[in-house]
Amino acid sequence: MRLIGAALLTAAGLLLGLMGAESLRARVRRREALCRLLGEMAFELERFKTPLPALFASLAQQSQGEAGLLCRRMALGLTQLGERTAAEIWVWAVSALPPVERTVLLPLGDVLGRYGAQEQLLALERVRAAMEREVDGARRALEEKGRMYVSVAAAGAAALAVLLL
Amino acid sequence: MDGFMAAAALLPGPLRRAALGMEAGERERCEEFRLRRGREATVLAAGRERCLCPGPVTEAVVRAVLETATGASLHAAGEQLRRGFVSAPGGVRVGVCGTAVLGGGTMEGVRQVSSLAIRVPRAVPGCADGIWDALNDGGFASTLIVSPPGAGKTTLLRELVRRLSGAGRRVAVADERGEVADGWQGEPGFDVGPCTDVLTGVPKAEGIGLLVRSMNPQVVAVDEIGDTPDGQALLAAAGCGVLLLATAHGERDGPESAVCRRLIQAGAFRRRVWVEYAGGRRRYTVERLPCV
Repeated sequence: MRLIGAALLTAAGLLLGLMGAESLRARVRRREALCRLLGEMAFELERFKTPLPALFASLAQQSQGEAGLLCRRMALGLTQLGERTAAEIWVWAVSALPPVERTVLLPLGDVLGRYGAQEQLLALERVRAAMEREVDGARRALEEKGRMYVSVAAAGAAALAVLLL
Repeated sequence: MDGFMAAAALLPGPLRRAALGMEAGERERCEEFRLRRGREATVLAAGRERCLCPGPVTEAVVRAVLETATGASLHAAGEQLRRGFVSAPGGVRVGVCGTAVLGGGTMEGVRQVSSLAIRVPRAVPGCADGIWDALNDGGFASTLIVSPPGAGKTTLLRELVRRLSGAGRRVAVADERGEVADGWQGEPGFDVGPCTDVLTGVPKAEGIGLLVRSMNPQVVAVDEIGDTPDGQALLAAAGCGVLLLATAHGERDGPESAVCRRLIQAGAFRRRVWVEYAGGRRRYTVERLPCV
């Protein structure tokens, strides 16, 4: 019985560590996806001057995860234009994202759709650069902490198991 | 959505509420909403402006109207802004005034927008009934509709397009500002008939040539011909055997524009319809033009 308890305890610890590492990996993927989204927005604006409702409707179909959620919210929100401003719709759309991503993306709301394509492209470039810095930060955190989470959790669980035995 | 509602939908909160609070009769007569920064917003009805809502129009109000009119996509309306207007859903045209941005001697856009004129589009089925027979006496011939601004040229043009198309003629409309057919996202908002093809957003001169080459029309319709390229394009279309239906600014007792004079002298039009608007009523007069 003790043996089974010790084994379960070790497995649970290992699982916790793996989950911690996975959340770090998901953070990297999420920020990378948002970077790609910003790049696609810039491409569409520069190449086709696509109106925002069409842009977000199209990107909502192509994007997954939080990037897709952001596009779906924008596409939906822009149908209420006139009741709310585009800046307010942007704030509502990014509110579905985690705090860091939300903070990076928020300034775009003051520019999107309100100025010419060049001004919007500059703003998109600035925000994309900021998001790329966050991607780098998330990657470093994954390298530094990812393995540590697994090791510490596994070691802690093993120690508990030893005490139990 | 009718034209009044489409125009009112562009106004932000309190202004929209004031517009929607207008009585039915005034809504019917409403021609434009006018917003001038620092002044009260007004409504133009039966040729007179009255205050729509007390309090000055602010930059935020002007910005909000432009944002709604462009679908939060000012970047996509650059070419229209360069020509001083923005087309909005429902066939609404928003005239834009402000400080011009010049490049290479021509206007590239408008910054510091100071005034907006939101035009209420209106289809009046049957408005051409009184002149239909006169226009078709001996068969439909190329027709020029002339009136001062705001007298109802576009409304009559739209109705004639619908009637001609309904009679089985292939009509092609070069609808530069989207006012004739309300070409929005591929479908006309106004009934312009079953045999009508609409090219929206292209400068008229370019659009006329394109339609003649690609759509094999029997009649080409354009709103507000203005400059020499428009006239040349219409002459070229007439030379291809296409009938013309066009509108132009002018007044019966006033001077005739050079483009219209040249087109009439060249025999491009066989009939002219004068539109006069007084006391809330429109009067149409058909004039036969001499054959050249």
